Amino acid sequence: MLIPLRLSSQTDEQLMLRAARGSERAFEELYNRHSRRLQGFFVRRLGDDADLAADFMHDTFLRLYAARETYREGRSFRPWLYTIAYNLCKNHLRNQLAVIHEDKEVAEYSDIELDIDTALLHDALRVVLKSLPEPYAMLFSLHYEEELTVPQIAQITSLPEGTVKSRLHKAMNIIKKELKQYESR
Amino acid sequence: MRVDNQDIIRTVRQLRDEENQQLNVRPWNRHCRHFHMPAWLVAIPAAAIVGFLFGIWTQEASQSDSPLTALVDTVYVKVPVPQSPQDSVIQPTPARQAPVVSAPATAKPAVRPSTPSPRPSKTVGRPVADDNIRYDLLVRN
Repeated sequence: MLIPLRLSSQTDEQLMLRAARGSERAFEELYNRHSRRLQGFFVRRLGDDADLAADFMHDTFLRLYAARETYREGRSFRPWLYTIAYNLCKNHLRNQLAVIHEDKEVAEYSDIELDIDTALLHDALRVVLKSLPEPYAMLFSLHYEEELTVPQIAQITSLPEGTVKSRLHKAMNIIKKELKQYESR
Repeated sequence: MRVDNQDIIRTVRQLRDEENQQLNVRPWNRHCRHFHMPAWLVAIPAAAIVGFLFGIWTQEASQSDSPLTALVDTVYVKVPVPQSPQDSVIQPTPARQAPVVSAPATAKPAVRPSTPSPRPSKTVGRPVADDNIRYDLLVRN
């Protein structure tokens, strides 16, 4: 049996297992892989505060490092990382996240058809995503930006999978409704 | 252009990548270890410094002892001297030459009569010490 010696060729879970057994280099490899993306997640979720996002990313990895010995084989790495990140965000935005808009408000929008120029879509979406209310913004970010699956998001947020799915659907509808304003400009 | 969910998702990920590329991410070393160098690079200079300090300390210790030794000019050592000087003095004796004896060729070789030689006795040896103990016997037995 050949054991891959290069850390870059190993999966996140293999690296985390090595880190749990005391490998500093394995943890550093994990950091190098995920730090930029995680910092981007915090930037988008914390309102473009780059320094605060860097601190939160730092804090997430420090918490992960402190808890590395509790990692068990078979556990997915990214959901664990984003659970820590999500909880940090939730604590920071506690007041905002506590105010969950009723689903009725956005339930009306469905199957919105859009006709926007691609270049305009790029700029419009940048504005629309910033105005997306919580908790839709968080779920949208976790699913479409961070590419986590619905079961993983359900695990991270402690929500039922059905709730995650419906909120993602509604988030998309909110975005489309907002983008409708940019049509035919 | 008609835009569907896939277009939105694709554009969202483009925006994400653009934003992530612009980020300034700190290295992990800065988080956990502000200064890192190999252990041997620390151990060797540390050993050299310890050796240097030990050398200085020993030099100072020898210098502090030197005034005492400077005060001593001659060291007298008591050497045991034999009690009776006669034992150690060799008396001069005149040299004697043995006379030449002629013997016939047919004659049987003369057999030297054996004289009863005294067997080495355990009592013969060093004199009894002042405390009447035969140390030589004690050692031999």
